[in-house]
Amino acid sequence: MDQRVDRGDAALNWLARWETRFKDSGAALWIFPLLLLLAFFFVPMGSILSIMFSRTDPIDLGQIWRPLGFTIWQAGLSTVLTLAAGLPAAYVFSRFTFPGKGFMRTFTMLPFILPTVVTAAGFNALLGPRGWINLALMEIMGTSFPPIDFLNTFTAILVAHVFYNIAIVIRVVGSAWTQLDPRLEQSAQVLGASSSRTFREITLPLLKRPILVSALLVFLFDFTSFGVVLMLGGPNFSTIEVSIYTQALSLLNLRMAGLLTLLQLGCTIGITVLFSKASSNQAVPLFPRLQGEGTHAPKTWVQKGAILCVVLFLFLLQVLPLGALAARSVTRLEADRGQRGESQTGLTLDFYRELFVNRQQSYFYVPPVQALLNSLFYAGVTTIISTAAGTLLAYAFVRKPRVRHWLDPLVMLPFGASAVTLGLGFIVTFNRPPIEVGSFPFLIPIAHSLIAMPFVMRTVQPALGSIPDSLRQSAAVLGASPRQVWWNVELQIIRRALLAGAIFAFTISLGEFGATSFISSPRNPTLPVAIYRYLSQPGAMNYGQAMAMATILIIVCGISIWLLEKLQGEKHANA
Amino acid sequence: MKTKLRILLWLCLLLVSCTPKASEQTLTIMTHDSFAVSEDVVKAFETQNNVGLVFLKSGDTGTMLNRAVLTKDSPQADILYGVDNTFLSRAIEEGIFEPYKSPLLASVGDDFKENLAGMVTPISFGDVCINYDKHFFSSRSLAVPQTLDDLLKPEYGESTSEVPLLVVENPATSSPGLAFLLATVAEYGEDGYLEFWQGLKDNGVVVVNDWDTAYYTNFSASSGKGLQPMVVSYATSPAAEVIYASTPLTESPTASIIGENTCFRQIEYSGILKGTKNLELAQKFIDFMLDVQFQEDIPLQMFMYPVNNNASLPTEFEKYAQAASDPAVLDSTLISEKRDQWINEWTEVMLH
Amino acid sequence: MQTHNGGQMEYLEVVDLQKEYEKKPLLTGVNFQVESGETLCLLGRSGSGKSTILRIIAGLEKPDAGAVYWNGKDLAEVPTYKRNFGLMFQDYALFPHLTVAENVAFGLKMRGVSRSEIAGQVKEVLEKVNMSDFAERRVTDLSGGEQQRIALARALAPHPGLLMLDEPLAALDRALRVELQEELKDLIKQSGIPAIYVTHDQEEAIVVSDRLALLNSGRIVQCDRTDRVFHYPSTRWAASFLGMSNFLAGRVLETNPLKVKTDCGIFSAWNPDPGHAFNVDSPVTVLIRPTGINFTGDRSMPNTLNGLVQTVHFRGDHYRMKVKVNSCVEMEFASSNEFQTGQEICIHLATEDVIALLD
Repeated sequence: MDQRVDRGDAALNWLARWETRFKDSGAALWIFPLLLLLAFFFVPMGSILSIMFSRTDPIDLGQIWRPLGFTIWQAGLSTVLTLAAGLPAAYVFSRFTFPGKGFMRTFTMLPFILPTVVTAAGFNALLGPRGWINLALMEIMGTSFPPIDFLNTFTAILVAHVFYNIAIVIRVVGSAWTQLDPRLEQSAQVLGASSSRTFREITLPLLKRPILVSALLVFLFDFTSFGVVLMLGGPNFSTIEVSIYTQALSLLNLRMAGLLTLLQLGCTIGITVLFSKASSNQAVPLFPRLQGEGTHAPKTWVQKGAILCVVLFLFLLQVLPLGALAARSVTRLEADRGQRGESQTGLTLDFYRELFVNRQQSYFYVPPVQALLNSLFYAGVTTIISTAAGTLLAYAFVRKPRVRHWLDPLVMLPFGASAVTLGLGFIVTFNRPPIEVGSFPFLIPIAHSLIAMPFVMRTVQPALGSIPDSLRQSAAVLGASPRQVWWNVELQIIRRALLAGAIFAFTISLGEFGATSFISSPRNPTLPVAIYRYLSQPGAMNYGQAMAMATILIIVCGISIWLLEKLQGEKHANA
Repeated sequence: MKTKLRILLWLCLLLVSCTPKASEQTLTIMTHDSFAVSEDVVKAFETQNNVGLVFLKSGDTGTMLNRAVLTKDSPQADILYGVDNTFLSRAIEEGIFEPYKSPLLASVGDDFKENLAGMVTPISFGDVCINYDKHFFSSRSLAVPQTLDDLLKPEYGESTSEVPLLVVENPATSSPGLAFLLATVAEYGEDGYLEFWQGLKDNGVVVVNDWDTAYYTNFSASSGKGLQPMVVSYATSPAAEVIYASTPLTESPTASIIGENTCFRQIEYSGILKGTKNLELAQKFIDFMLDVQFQEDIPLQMFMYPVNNNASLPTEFEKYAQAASDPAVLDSTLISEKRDQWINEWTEVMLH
Repeated sequence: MQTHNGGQMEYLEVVDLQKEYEKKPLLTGVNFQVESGETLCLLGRSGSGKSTILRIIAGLEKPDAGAVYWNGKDLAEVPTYKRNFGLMFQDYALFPHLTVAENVAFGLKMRGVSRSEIAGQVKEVLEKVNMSDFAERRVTDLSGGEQQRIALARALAPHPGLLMLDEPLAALDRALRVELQEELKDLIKQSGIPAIYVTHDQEEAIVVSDRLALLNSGRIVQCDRTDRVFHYPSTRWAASFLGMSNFLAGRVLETNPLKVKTDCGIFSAWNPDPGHAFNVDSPVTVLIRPTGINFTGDRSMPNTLNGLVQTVHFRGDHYRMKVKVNSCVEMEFASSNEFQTGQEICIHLATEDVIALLD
């Protein structure tokens, strides 16, 4: 009897020790995201890579260097340009209130949701050989030859990258900028620093971290960019991702594809580590501020001019192409037809009407409402999963900084993973019920979450780190239980960061990045899939319906984002 | 403790409800994204055989093939549809098919029955041809090129018209692009085709990566209103322009160049996947696909031609589309052997 | 610590500052002066605009009307970073990415002082605030009191012409505050720099300031030597703000000398502003000072009230008592002697104890 009690005690002690170790390591926080990563990234990636390397396809090392060099070059240049364009915008959004600010803020997120096919169409409508700008210029200059040659150029790649990713800089740096205590800059001024010196000595060093974080995210996106390079850059430009695509899917050379994938993953880790080192560990506590506090209407002409420039630029870059797209969806622009002579134009809602008609009685007809609901469903689930996982990670990184060293690069890996390889990995791994590609409804949101999770983590973490212990402690002293402390104090402060991360997750999911094109469920098609279908056949109706569906996608997404932002109750504090 | 048990119970129920219901018998067909079929036709088979049909759309042909090959030990479908003659040998080599010879093959022309190896069945075909903008040529009183050689003439080149008149797709990234490349190989032979391409490059040609960009951005007769009046597309595209026009048209704005060896014939095959548990049903479905009802549905759904001689074509096809009478044809084994090499050679000439 | 101008007299003059905040008037005409060697305290309620005044003087905000003069020169066109003033914020606003020494050195660095010079001066300043050991520490590691000292050192290091402190001790606990009040005052005095000290805490104002300016409704209501303001608040608001509540309504009987008739009797009253003339028969409110009252006289003396002690509270260094006066009204008084509840006392009011309030 005693022996049993002793053994029971010993077992309990052993359990207790492990429990303490578990608690100390903070594993309760990061175990769920890690499991998610392991099950849905490392396992599929591992299986497909081992399959790829077990094949006997020929390898040509010479085909690696050029794409590698070009990939790094275009990603680097795109990142620099995105920062150059995004920082002034972040400044303007964080310091001032002005009419149309809410609209512009929402609008900057919309490019994320657009499949590249649609973006290409939008830019074509605006800047193509018979796009509106060229048409206008030809009128003005009296030439018959379109002066702007935009598509299939390096410029197109760069512009499209900035178009897509400027939102990252604006939101990540912008939110940190709003959190920056204006009194720091004012102190510097009183101490004798002119505006430019203040910016250099105080503002920039304090913003170093968010700038580097946004640069990392933008770089990795551009590094693995596929649709933009393929469709807007054209055949003269080949990145590693495009090479993986051609090797795997056209030349059926899986071994080469595997090699390139490993190369890409290696670069991702290297770049992530580089950025971490550069943004050295000291967490700069930013004073948590209420939304809108510290923003005011512009006073000087210089300020007004800056705002005007930024708004104009964003308008040209983002609103115009999307507007061109929307305009094409309601315009009947026949090409010069034999018997008609002149092009016939006219406004029409025919394309929208046609969306709801299954004229060919196709079995695969996608009713737009259903496609929309499917997209929103996936986006919603993705938002929930990635917000939860990302926040847990943020907590883990703030509470237990040592965990960051090894977990951070792992979390960033999905960013740098080839969509093609990962997609194939999904197909190979999730082959049997219950988790089966095509039938398990949560596979797509989980795949989206792999990308969205690091976003949420990186937006929430600085907000979390800025909460001084004293705040938590005073609440506790006032009688709040740990849960109440979390709900009433912490959650309120990180609410805005959480929301920003959630919005990213939402738009990323709607835009269906990468691997999910491989695992889309035929029974629950989403809007981007439907858009692709229309654009893969000739005919004005098909083109028009694709534009119409894209416009619906844009409008619905815009409204959703606007609603989400209203959720956190913007307060406009003036002067 | 009780609440925890309750939660656990709900979770289990949830998981169980997530698993697909295996009550009804289903037949799964893995296809590429361009597969399309009418509801009536699907229902016809389903009711005839008391089975549910499930279509697994798997991307473009290359992706689909990869998917089939990677999962051949535990196949995800019973039937594969959509492997074409450029991939055929590779697919057969990988050993993913179950042999079957449909009795309905008797109604199919001999041209389509080469290299089947008893494994696959031809279902449809299409011609990849150069489409041209009728208005462009008529308004300039310019004759439409009739052969590949014509394309090298200066009147169709950059020197005369300031812009290249032809846009082609990159064979490494586009299926019609590859088809056109194969047409040139068929016309000029393995030793001469590169010369043709060099000549084309010197005369002026635009290369883009995918059909979408070529047709909707570069082609002047599509809604994109581009600059090039000639594009590598499908022989059925002119019909699609009429069927999907936003205002009713009596004539198609485009047509195809169908001289000898200017088009490439793509044949689409279907095969039963090895390891299927529904062999009999699968065989029935293959027969069904070769039968007149399915075959007559193909043109307006997939914009391809039926292989069954007894299938009639819709009027729009007769009026606006033209199948090539003398399409370029290459042996599929040869294609499978040499395609990588040809693509690389082409890339060297055209893109470097 | 050297004075800025090598011993010359410097002064700041604020004339008729006006500012609106969210369409409502905040400052409606603020006037005051500060000179070398004195600390002026701006005392007022939270939200009365005290911080705004400092920010206008520093150049961080522009007034809607009015001007700021430094040594006679209008500062309207002078940008903040050229004014050479020191400003210490309530939450210190130390630069979190710099060490203590770098924070303190910032102003000197901006003025182009050489690195070796900077090191020496930083050391000197840190010694003055008793923080020499903290030079290489990160500011985020410091406690509240330590941060406050560094903030002060940072403001002082570049030898500003004027020092402004915006509720510098508000974030600290009471014991620390009391300890630091004296230190602050000494440091400022040593430097000889004119200083404006903003607070809402009266006791702090008493300790720190030489002159006191009361701010209400956007105007300076009273500005004088600190002891005079406390002894002779000139308006009802000022008196209430300073915690006095012994008001009597009355009428002016005579004007020279000033005599007022109230319900509790007729008193000789004190006019706090010699420039102000009272009119006979006009209504006036009279303040009976709570402090410095003589309770030892007898009833026969003029200006004496009868009082019945209601409650007595011990306050550390004095007793606070509520007294029913002349059976008509209740007043509060402070006394160093202890009285008993129920005791009858004589309240002998000198002329200065009865103040005819100006508004």
